[in-house]
This record gives sequence, structure tokens and C-alpha cells, in this order.
Amino acid sequence: MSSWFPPEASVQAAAMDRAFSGIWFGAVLALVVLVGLAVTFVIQFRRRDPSARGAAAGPVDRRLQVIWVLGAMILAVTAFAADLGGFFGQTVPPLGATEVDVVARQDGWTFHHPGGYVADTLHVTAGENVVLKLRSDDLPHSFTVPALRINQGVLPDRTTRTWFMADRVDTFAVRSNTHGTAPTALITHTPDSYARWQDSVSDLFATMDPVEVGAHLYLKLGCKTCHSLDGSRLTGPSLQDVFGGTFESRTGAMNLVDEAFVRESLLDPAASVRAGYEPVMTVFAGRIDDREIDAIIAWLKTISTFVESAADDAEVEG
Amino acid sequence: MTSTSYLDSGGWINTSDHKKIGLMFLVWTLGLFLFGALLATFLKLKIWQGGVDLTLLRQMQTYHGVAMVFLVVIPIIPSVLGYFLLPLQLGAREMALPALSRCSLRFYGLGTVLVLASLFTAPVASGWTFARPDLLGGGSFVVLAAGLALMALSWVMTGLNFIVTVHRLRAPGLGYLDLPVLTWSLYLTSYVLVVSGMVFGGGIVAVALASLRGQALLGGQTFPLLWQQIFWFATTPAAFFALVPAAGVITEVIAGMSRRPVIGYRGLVGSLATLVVASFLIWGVRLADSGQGAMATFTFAVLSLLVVIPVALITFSWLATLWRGAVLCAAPTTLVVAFLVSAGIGTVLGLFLSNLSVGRFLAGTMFATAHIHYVMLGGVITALLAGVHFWWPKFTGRTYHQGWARGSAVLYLVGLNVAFFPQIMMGTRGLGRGLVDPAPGLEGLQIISTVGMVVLLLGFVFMAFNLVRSLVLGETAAANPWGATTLEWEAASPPVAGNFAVLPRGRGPYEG
Ligand code: HEC
Repeated sequence: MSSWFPPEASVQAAAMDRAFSGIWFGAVLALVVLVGLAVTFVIQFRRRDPSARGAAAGPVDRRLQVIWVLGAMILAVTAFAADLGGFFGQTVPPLGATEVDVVARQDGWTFHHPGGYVADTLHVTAGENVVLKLRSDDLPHSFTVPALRINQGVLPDRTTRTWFMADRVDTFAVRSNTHGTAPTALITHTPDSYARWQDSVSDLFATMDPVEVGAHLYLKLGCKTCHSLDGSRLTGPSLQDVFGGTFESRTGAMNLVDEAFVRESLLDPAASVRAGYEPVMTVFAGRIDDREIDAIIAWLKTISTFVESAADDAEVEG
Repeated sequence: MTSTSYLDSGGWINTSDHKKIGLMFLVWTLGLFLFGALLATFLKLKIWQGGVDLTLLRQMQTYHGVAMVFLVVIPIIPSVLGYFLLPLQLGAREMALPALSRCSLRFYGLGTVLVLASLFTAPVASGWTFARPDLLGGGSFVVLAAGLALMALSWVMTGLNFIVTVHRLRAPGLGYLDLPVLTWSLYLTSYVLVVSGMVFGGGIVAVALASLRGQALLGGQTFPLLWQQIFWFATTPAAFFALVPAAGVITEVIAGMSRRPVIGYRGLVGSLATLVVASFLIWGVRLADSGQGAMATFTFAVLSLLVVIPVALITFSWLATLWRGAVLCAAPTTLVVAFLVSAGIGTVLGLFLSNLSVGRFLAGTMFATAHIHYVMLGGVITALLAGVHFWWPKFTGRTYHQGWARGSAVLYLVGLNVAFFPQIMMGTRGLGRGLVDPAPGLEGLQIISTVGMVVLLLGFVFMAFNLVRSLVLGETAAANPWGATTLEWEAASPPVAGNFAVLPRGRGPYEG
């Protein structure tokens, strides 16, 4: 049935195609028997004489009836059982697999790869087990890769999982069954090309301007989990309208959030803790370099009304 | 009143004569069927042409689905064959609640008008399951939802009316286990119409209110699947298990055409009842790829296996009835075979979809689209057509041209398979169920499928033409042209206004 399916790109795909062929065989058998018998009877017992009547009602032949029902049951249960292994295999991911956090939105996907590499396409090494932890930021979507026979729903407010092991280096289309969701791609690598891809993502500055890099780091470094951008309070204060503002610290001192203060907040957050908050912010010293801190600062300015105009930016940066 | 045909007595607009109501439903639903079919053909041609606006395609697809499922497939067998035949099969003169029959027709009419009206403002593009709240199309969705709510009320009224009629108006001596299988299937389906009608009607109103408040999802982020669950809970029994009344029709046709009592009557009735109960337990099969938990998916899949036993018992009865029958080879028989082929394919495709890993993959593809079409068109509509050809002499007092009828039935069956079999293969190849995906490498299948649609439509139009032609040119029909045994054949063709000159007495099923 190879022409029926897209070329298999994983062990699971091969198993699923085998199960499909088995069910197909049973289905064709059942249909041929049913329709074949019906047509045979229609022809064999056709009304030759207009006034003829069929045989009077007799008792049902129980033996035949039981055989018929059992036959159907056996076909259906066998098909079900043949496919069960595939389901459990798909539901329970192998231990020690690489985990990728996936966030779906109408306008695109965000893949948080291990090591903090964030991209809008999914990158994995061929031959490695990958678990996807999927979540939606807006409506329900699905993560569907025909070549891997994967079709997993993605919902807001809860995490769904699926896993796979792609067995060749290629680029696969990823779509959602829901209308309007942006498509994306799965790119499988050799270990070498995966490393090269990592290098290219880590040099964000090659393709983005500093403000974009800042916005990207907000997602990539997980600031998002504690800081909103809409003024609402999470674990930490919203980052909207922070830069250039003056806030009271726990010790009562008034702090102006300027470049130096942001730098300190990132490298040594406990040095000055805003009043009303706990000193729980992640220490980013060692995880972030100067250029990235500058990018975050440049971006924070764009989302603060305390920063008047681009002229200020130029002055501060100089 | 007792000697003139119902067709010649009284008007149509304000009538509550169950036979006229049935005929009006026939014209109305088949008109909508044609509308839905033309939309689909148009859609196919557009996709073939390529480069069309996605929103337009989505809108056409939405209205095709809405029209076919809610305005045609769910109500068609009860509203057309049910209204016409139920009192006749019971040996009664009228429905128990004639005013409610009329009301149901009017709600249906008004509902369809509203649904179509929403087309002219900002057509909804959310798909027929309304799963994309962002594409509901604002104000016009409210109009559409109001139309569907009226429609759902019309199902509820029909259901209540049938239940009361079966309880109260059976001819003397006609016990529950003497009822023809069609009557049983209509009676059982009435409960589905009442429950699904209320759940679906309430649900669609809730979605409309939520969308008016600007709420993105019914149930919000906390219960993102709430609407989809309500939806499939209501539509699985009403739309997919519209195969239950379809099976009732097929049973009557088989018994009538082979002049033989239905073999395994009790098993058959019990199976239909089991199917109705089961249909309310397996909505989650449709949600296998939605993100619902693995345990839920597993449970629903196991429950759906229960369907196999009643389906086997029903087909056994059919075969056993044909065997040693005196089978008349006429148009209804041809359509019975067409039903067995296409509803059979539909049922086994359903088996694939309720399998766990295979099903989850295929659920997101055109395979699911093919399944829906084989069940609803191949099953429900084919059964309706078989029924219409079987009872046409009773409806109109005329006989239609057999050669034309059988020829167009064959054309219809061929077209149906040429149109929808390729969709099965497009599905396994991974083409998404949205229909509108670009499909590199699948153009060949798309073209075959489009040609099939045209053939199917031709078959349908020829069939309809032949029936209409019989009204003018057909010979007068005998009261019982096939030699069938149920009570409706005791009435004249067409029946007189009060159905029977002398009310018949009940007797065992298919004793005649
Ligand atoms: C584990 C939660 C957490 C994460 C992750 C986190 N923060 Fe914070 N952040 C806080 C909390 C709590 C405060 C308030 C207490 C404080 O000042 O230390 C804070 C304070 C701040 C402040 C100072 C605001 C003020 O007025 O005092 C800035 C600027 C800031 N965070 C930026 C960031 C950036 C940029 C990132 C990502 C690179 C980040 N935070 C990641 C929890 C977090």
C-alpha cells in the first residue's frame, strides 16, 4: 500500500501503515462478503412470476447468525488490537528523550529547543527520540506531520505531548487541521548540521536588530513566565512602562530604572528588590552577555512611555 | 372526505395533513440538497482552478456542510418518510398532534431562510462544526445561529409528535412488537431528535451569545473543548446515526421487494435501539486528535466497538430476508444495493477512525471527509432515495419509468464512488480535511473526484426528473404495486384524505 501513504519517515509510521493494511484487508473482506451475498440473493431469488411470494417467516438460523456476528466481531477486535501497540507506543514517550516546548499561535509557532535555542521551526537530530510538550497561546490547534503520521491536538491552558524519532535527514511540512493556523516545518539534521544550526541561532545579531533581539530574549530566556507586557502583575512586575520610571524598593529607596539598574537587575537581582515583590528573579549572570543586555535595554525602551523619543536612545547609547 | 385523494382535498399552505407535510418536506429538503451539492461542485471546480481566495473557499465549505448536515441529513428521513408514513403504518388517520406537524414545517422553513440569509451579509467561514470562533463572521453568525436554533426546535417538535403518535394512535391490535421496522426506527430516532435538538439548539445559542460578548471560545481557555464536546455529543447520534432510520427504510424496502417477512425481527429492533443508545456514548471518537486525554480516547474507542454487534445483526437480517425471497428487481432494489455498497464503505471507514493510532492520524485528513460523505450521502441519502422510489406510487398514485430510475441509480452509485473514493486516498496521503489545502501530487485524484461529483449530480437530476415526469406521464399505480404487507399498502394510492376508508386492524409484523 506504499502508494497510499507519504514515504515513511519514522519507525512509528511504518507500524501504523502495517496496521492500516491489516484493517484494510479485513474491511474489504467484510464488504465483499456482504455485498456479494446480497447481490447473489437478489439474482438467485428474483421474482420470476409477478404473483410469487417469498418463503414464509421461519425461525432464524441461530448458528449462522452467531457465526456472522462473531465473524464481524473478530474482524473488528483484531483490527483494534493490531493498532493498540501503536497507540500505547505513541502515548508513552521513551525515557531520556530530548524535550522541546512548543507554543502554538494563530500567527506562528515557537519551539523552545534544549539549551535555550528558540526558533519558529522545529529542529532535531535524525535518530534521536524527541518529546514535544505542546501548548496553545490562543485557540485549539493541531501539530500534524503526515510523514511521521503524527496528528496531535494542541490546547490552551494545558500541555499535550507526543513524541517521534525521525529516521532520515529532511524537511517536513507541519500543518494544523484548524483553519488559519500558520504552517511551520520540521527540519531533521545530522549531528553536525544540528550544531551548525545552533550556531546560527545563537548569533541572533546577524539577522535581527537589537530591539528584535531583546524581544526575542524575553521569550527565549523565560522572562515571559514572570513578567507580562500588558501591565498585569505576575511573579514579577510587568515590563511595560518600567524603563525610565522610578519605583520604591523594599528598603524604601527610590530607584530610577536606567541602563545601570537593568544591568544590575539581571546580573544581581537581589541587590535591589522592588517593594511588594519577593526576591525570586533568576540570576542571569553568566547566562547573558553585554551585547544581549544592551539589546534587552533597547527593547525595554520601546515598550515604555517614560522614554520620550528616539533622540533619547541615541544620547543614552552614546 | 373518504373518497377523494388527499392531493385533491384542501389547500397546502395551512394544511396539517401529515401526508402533505411530508411531501412539502420532500420538496424543501431536496431543494436544499441540490443547493448544497451545487456549492460542493462549485467548490471542487474552484479548487481545481486554483489560486482562489481561501476565505471564499472556507465560506462555501461552511455553507455546504451546514446545509447538508443540519438542513438535510438530520431531518430528511423523519420529515419526509416519517411524516408521510408513520400514521399510515400505524393504521391511523393523522398524527397525534397535527398542529405540531405544521409548526415543525414552519420552523424548518423559517430556519432555512435565516441560514440562507446569513449568506448575504458576512458569510460565516468557521467550518460546519463552528470550531473556529475567530471566523464566525460577527452579526451574520447570530442570524445563522438563530436559523439553526429554529431548525433544532423543529427536530424536537417532530420527535415529540412521533413519540406521542406511536404511543397513542396504534391501530387496535397493533402491539409494539407488531410495528414495522421503519416505525420502530422512527420512534427510536425521535428520542435522538428531541435530545440532540435541545442540546444542539441550546449550544448554538450559547456560542452566539458568547461571540456577541466577544468571547473567543465557549468555555474559555479553561474548557477549550467544551463546544466541540457539546457539538459532537449532539451530532453524532443525529447525523451519523441518521443511519438508524435509514436502516428502517432499507428493511421495509427489502421486505417489500422480496415479499417476505423480516427475518430476525426482534434482533433487528433490539439492534436499532442499541445503536441509538450507543450513539450517545461515543462522541469523543471525533475528538481523538483534538488533544483530549489518552484515557478518554481509549474509552471512546472501546465503546465504539459495541456498534459492531448490532450492525452485524441488522445485516444478517437483511441477507436472511433476501434469501428465499421473491425479489423484484426494480429501482428500489437497485438503490438497496447502492446503499449496501456505500453505507458499507462508510461503516468500515468509521472503523478505521475509531481505531486508536490509525484513527488519530486519519481523523485530521480527507479520510474523515470521505467517511462523512459515505455515511451521510452514501447511507442516509441513498436510503431516502430508495424509500422515495419504493413509496412513490403511494405518495402520488403514479408509476415512474423503471429503466430511467434504475439507470440513474447506477449513475448515482458510480458517481458517488468516483467522487469519494479518491478522498480516502487523499486522506491517507496526508491531505488535511480542510479540503482547501494545496495538494501537490494529488491533482490526478482531485480531477477524478471532481468528475465523479458531476456524474453523481447528473444521476440525481435524472432521478428527480424521472419522478417529476411520472406526475404527468406516469401510469396510475395500484394500491400495492410491490405486494408488500405493512398497513400503508392497505390505503389507496394515493391515500384518501383520512388515509383509510375503513380503519385497518393491527396484525403481526409483515403478516399480510
Ligand atoms: C522567576 C521569575 C523571574 C524571571 C524568570 C525574570 N524575572 Fe525579572 N523580576 C522578577 C521579580 C519577582 C522581580 C521584582 C523583584 C526584584 O526587583 O528583584 C523582577 C524584577 C525585574 C526588573 C526590575 C524592575 C523593578 O522595577 O525593580 C527587571 C528590569 C527585570 N526583572 C527584568 C527581567 C528580564 C529582562 C528577565 C529575563 C531575562 C527577567 N526579569 C526574568 C522575577 C523574574
